[in-house]
Amino acid sequence: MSETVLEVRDLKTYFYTYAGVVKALDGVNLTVREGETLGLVGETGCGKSVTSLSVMRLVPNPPGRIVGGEILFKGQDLLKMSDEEIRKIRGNKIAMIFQDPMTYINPVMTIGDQVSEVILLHQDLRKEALQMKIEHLKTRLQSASADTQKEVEKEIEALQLEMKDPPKLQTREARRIAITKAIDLLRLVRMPYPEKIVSQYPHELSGGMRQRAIIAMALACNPSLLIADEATTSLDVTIQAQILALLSDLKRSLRTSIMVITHDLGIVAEMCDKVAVMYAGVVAEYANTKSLFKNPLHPYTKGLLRTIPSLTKEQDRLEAIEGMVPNLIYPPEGCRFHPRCRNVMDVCRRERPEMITVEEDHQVACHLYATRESQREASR
Amino acid sequence: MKKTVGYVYAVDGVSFDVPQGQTVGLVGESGCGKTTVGRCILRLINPTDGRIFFENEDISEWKGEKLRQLRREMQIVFQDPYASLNPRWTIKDIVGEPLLIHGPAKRQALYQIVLESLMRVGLSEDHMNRFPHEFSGGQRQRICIAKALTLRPKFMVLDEPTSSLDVSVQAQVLNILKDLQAELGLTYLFISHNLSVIRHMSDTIGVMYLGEIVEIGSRSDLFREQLHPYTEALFAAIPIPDPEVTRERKILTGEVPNPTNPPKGCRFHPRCEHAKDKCREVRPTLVDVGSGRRVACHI
Repeated sequence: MSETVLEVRDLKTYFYTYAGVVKALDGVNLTVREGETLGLVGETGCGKSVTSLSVMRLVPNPPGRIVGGEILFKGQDLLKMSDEEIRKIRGNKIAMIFQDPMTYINPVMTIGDQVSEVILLHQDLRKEALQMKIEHLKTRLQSASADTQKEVEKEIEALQLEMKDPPKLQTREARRIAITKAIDLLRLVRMPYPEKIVSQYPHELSGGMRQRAIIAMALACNPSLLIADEATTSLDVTIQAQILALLSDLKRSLRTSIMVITHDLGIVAEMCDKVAVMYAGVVAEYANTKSLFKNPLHPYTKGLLRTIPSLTKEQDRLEAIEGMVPNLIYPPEGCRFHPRCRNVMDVCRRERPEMITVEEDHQVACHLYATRESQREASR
Repeated sequence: MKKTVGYVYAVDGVSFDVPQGQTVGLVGESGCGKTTVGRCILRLINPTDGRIFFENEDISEWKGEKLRQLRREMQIVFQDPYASLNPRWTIKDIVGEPLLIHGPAKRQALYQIVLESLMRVGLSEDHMNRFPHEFSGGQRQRICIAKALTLRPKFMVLDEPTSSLDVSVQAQVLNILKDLQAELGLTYLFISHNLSVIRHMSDTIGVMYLGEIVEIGSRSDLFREQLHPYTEALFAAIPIPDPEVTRERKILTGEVPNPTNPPKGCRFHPRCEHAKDKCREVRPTLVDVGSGRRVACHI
């Protein structure tokens, strides 16, 4: 059983506004294991972005505040960390890519500088610099005459001794190394002509290329967790396919866990191992992808799957979910979905449903299944 | 028709027919020119070259009063429901505005017509005196549709009407559009980058790339088999919401070229895996391959 990278327990994030308190997240539970891809799916206002911002501790304060719960990253509670400690993790061990590449990229810095910035901030390049010097000397060794050879060997020895506590780097040196690594990263994300791109500015690049640059920045420090918040929504569909393929390959080769936030169930089906369906600030259903699509349990999930126009079946009308997403300042009592639910029962109006395990790797927060369970209990 | 803006060949030689009562879908990615085609047809932008025939009359050069009369028959619904409604006007005023220009403008008659339009899209009398900010995206888009319907047009251009809406709201709006088409005998030009929506709404589908139609055919033909390599790539690129389906996915490489400097010959050739010498030199024209289907490709 692989290690748990992220565990979110009963997360509550509220926004304090003039109109009232928006209970954006009201008890969210999720887990992401090593090498796993979790999809966070839901429509506008369900809280998926707020979840990712909460994990990164980027919720704007004011008006937002994480008021309850725990976020365990490799066992450590991120919510208990100091600002300095969290800064060491953000961008380094947990990285994020956002929706609109033009908004989130710095327009006045070159791509090379931006990727390097991440590297310079989080990585200790002293050893690498030293190693590079040693390698350089070793190549000289091959072409050197007999006398110089002895000298070079002495130099190499001396440098190797310094490895335990390498000297501080000059800024110029550090930047040079960082740029070399940046070029490697850009090549990794399949950016065409990476050596040229490093000296270009974002506006000179297309949307797909900018998104690749952002992915390069996110992967610069080999994070354990990558959060992709609607990372391909603003891209053309053929470019989206390229980026998704890239992320799939990278996830395999780097063993990165990914949290994919999207409203597109197609992307979830293709990329994710597990899915959490969110509605109005809570997780409605949580299952492995195959189970979710094969056997959707929550009425909201069922409704969502029915509203997608099919590429294969003939449909006259699309089934729509009646009603609208609730106002999160005054969320409905009991189950948040009950006003729109076809199968609503009395208990749904009064009590909030708990997460119940219905089958292996498949949980749902719905009273329909609770009653079945309690019926089963009663019949024993 | 052609439309040249400076040196951008936004739409470069596009021809198609829209049969009455049917929906023609135009699908393509950003920069392919589909929005420009829609606006040209309505004469919101004037074409540089070519002809537009509405009900067998050449409307390409109509001006003044004639053009105004024409506008009663042709309407448009835009993509962004937040930008297309005047935030300072009530819904009644917004939906009734076309009547102020084209008549009847008398209070009673106007009220009735506006009410009827609103009810057709599933809204009610209480909504008339409210302001746009009080409505959700889906409702606003319905208001835009109601406004477009006020003059009882024959033809509507729908430019990405559901792209900025959530999936469940999109379903509601698309259902309304389909119902209206059946009830009122409307003819639609549906523009979108979303293939599944296009499939749901259209009878005929045209695929555009960099200012041209590369393939056009009936919905069933196109979905059964894609002929043009770009159409193939477009279909292959769409993620399918079914984890059981494993496809051999040929992912299209490269980027959409700059429209100010389109590739010579076939505009798709730099990204096409089947490209031959001829493709680099000669621009392919739309060729009829049977049952009303046309493809522009040398292969």
